[in-house]
Amino acid sequence: MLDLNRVQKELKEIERDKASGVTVQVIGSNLQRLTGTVQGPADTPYSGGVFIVDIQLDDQYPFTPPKMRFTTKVWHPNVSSANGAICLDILKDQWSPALTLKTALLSLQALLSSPEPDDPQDAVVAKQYLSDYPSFQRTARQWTDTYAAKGRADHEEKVARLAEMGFDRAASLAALQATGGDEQQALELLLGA
Amino acid sequence: MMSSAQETTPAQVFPLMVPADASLGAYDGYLSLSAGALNSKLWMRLSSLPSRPGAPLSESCRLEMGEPLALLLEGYEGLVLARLKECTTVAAFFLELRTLLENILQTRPSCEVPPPSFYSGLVQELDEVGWDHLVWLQEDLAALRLRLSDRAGRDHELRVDLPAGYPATPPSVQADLPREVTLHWPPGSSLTSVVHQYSEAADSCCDLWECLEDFDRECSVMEPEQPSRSALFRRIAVGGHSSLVVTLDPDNPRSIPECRFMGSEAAVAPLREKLRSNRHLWDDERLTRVNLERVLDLRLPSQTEAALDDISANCCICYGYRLLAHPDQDPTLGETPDINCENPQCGRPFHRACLVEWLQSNNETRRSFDTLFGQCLYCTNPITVKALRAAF
Repeated sequence: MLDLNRVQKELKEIERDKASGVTVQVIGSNLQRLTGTVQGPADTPYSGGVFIVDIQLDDQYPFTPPKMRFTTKVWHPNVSSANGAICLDILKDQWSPALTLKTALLSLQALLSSPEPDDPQDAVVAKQYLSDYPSFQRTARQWTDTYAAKGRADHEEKVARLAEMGFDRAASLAALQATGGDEQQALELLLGA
Repeated sequence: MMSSAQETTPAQVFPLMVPADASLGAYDGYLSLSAGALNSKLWMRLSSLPSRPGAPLSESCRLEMGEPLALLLEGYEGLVLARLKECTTVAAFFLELRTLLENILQTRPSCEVPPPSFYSGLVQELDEVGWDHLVWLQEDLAALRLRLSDRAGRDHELRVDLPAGYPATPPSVQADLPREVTLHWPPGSSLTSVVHQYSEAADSCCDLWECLEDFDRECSVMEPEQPSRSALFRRIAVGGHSSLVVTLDPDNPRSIPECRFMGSEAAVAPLREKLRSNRHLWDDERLTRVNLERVLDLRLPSQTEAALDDISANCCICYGYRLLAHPDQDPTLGETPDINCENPQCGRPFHRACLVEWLQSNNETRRSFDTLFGQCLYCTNPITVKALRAAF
């Protein structure tokens, strides 16, 4: 069984420390599916963007790492440009219960600042990063402007539509973020929860 | 026994148990006992008796019984089965069963009905005590709860069980008090005497409660979670992931209490030393908490301060204090985080079970017999823990 006590305390802590720049929202009533956001770090091609992370906790959490995946498209050597899968040691074998959802999201933010092209998730991006850095930066910037900055305005409209159906605004936004903005899937998530 | 059983017939033991078929393969009816109150209620049927003479009844027989009999034999099922195994004739089994039942009935508490004067006397006594002190009265008036106040205005409840022979036999009284009260019961005593004696006992504990309630108000008390009036100890957070268990002396609540420090040795040893060297600063006029803070030269963190992560005494893996083995476990029996990292800069507490689960899943961990040698997951200082063999 998932350790609800710990997850609730973690959420409270994130709520309290608004300055950290990361947020976590609960979808529905069980705490196994969450959605987080990470601010793009300044002085990087990701600045100004808000990146949404789908978080799934299994029953062994905090003994096992949370499953995290970007639902916002990101151009980064350690993030799959196709499905948002993340290559980061603390989400795999370097996880320990001393880490939290907050520290994991902050690590994602740090990963955006300092890519590790030698241990890539997306070989194409990594190759471009190493061989043609300026065009890597251009593409990353473009993706941020296209997906991470506009994503919010896009959601606003959909949130308004879901709210009209009688769903809670915060829950609607969380559901949309978890499904990468797919309104139909978000609706199913909200109904299933 | 065998010989006497052979001479006896089943009908001589239980006349109302009659053969249910011509071949004597089954008996059906009611058991009659010398104390007649239950007769005609104890239905039993013994069927498919073994046809081979000399065979133990348990070989094939089937025993059925009605609810009253089953209730009476509750807890003795094993004994009945053993008798079926030993006995080779129905009469022998009936004899054994009769002896067993009569023994059970004798040891059962009697349900005598008290005389009418019991009730009129009780009403009179309650008039005397004052009906506003009565919190609850059992349907048959054999037990009641009384409320009384001590001189500091704390409410206390007494549970009084009245025996059938009351008021000649003294009542049994239960109260949530730290000291046992021996009820003094000379002839002519009544509920007023009970209230009087227990009020006095409660008054004598007021100073103790004042000291304990001061802990509850000013400190972060980890145990007991809901302190009862009889609890003499408090486990309080002292900061730095450590805690202190103080046990007060009910006769001398303001004297130096028994202190037990819990936490990493590095954090706790200086406190122990201070307690020893500053004993002369203890002032028996002050509250225990004030004295402790003075002698230990620290301020005990309040409830809200102790909730902050760096001084919390909660387990640093599951973030909880009590760890229940399963959801239905009594919350006061759950494991507490009593294993601390020995690094003085860290000192974080863990539940044994949480730490074992983590260390076992970590491939840095080495194991020797049932001891796990691993690293503190916060500071990588070596940490050892005995694995619980039963659980894994």
